[in-house]
Amino acid sequence: MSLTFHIKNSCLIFTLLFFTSVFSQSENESNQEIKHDLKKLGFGSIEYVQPITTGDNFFGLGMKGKSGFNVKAQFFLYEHFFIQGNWGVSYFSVKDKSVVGNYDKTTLSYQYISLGYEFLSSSKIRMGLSLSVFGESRFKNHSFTNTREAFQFDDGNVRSYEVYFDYMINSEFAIYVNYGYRNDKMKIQVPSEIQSLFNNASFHNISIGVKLYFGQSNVFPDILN
Amino acid sequence: MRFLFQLLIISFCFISCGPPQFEKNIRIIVKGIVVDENDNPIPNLNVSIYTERGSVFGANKEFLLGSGLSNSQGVFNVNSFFDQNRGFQVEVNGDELFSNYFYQLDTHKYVPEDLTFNLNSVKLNRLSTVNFNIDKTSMEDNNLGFSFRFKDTNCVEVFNEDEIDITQSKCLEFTYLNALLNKDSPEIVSKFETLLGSTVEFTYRLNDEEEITNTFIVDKINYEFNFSY
Repeated sequence: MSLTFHIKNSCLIFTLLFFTSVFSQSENESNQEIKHDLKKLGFGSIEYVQPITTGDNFFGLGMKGKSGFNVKAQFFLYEHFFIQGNWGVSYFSVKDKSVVGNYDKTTLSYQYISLGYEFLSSSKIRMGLSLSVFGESRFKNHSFTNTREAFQFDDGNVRSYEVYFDYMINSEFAIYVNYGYRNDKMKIQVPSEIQSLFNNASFHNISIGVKLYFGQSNVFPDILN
Repeated sequence: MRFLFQLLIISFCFISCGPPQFEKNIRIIVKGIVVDENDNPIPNLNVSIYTERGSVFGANKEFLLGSGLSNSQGVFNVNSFFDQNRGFQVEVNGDELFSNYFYQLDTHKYVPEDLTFNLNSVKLNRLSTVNFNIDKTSMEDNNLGFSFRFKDTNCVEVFNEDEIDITQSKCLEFTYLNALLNKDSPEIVSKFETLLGSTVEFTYRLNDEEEITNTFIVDKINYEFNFSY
């Protein structure tokens, strides 16, 4: 069984846990008051990303992740539900030109919006899950012929599944790790015999970064009252 | 006004002088099988896909879009970028053991169905090197004009859509090598490559005498040709 299969299963389990936690937590929350200083309007963050390509697709078979950077802005809409904007760039090198074509490296830039739920929030630790709902990615492929550079673009729609773990240094400042699974839907036209190879570009993103929380209430604190 | 004009010139330079960009969101396959003159498969030959092939004012402008090797059955199947260009060319390189094959197509005018360029069977001929030595043995101040007429080692097939254009294609045609020997340069040692098993014509004229033509068949990988006058 492929790694993608296990990741899809893991995502499903996470999603089930996520919804279980939503309902159980909302019940618990109705019985106990949330401490006022745990409520936040949102945060801004910056992170270093280590992409790791995976899967039986042109990205997993032909590319190797090098590094990347990500900037995020997150707003808590209501209680633990949040919306997140992501902007980033990642760098990849080609490990097998016979799979991808004659180029040497790829610069991937992307932006997407995610919706998520923070299922654990304490004074020291916060954890949350998110799924991308809309986003675009652009793969700039660099090729060199006798040191002369040329390039080519591929476009895709972002599909991202993420989980984060924050360690709060104080009530505003946190360091965190983030795991993301990206399985972008590509818009590449290819001969039918290699269509399945170029349908998706998948990779894991393991990130470490810093967050600055702000505000002390949600965007819509009284929406259900 | 002058500032606007300068801005326009600078913008034009940035746009036109930047690195070229190939067709976005497209990959093609170039496939086929490469065989020798006896229909035996040839493994490990390089298949390369180029754009902007050909020289402009002597400068080499070509870009490599994709490349791969033929396998043990002679089959090649190369994934590549694509570019709409008059100088789109696929080269099957015989690696100095076999002749070279070039498939040329104006991809501005035609893109094959399903983005697949199927070259089918590409036949390459084994090559021979003809080492020739022409020296002077007579004491007189003679002039010798000579030429070799032999088969070229390149086969260029130009296509219009999926039909070959005979008028523009040049496949293993005859080519010439000629020189004039005199008292300043009375001897020559050189070589050329041609197809193994092909016939070479050697034509010479000593001073103002009649032209004489001899022929020989190149039947060895390294063929030695000696001539004295």
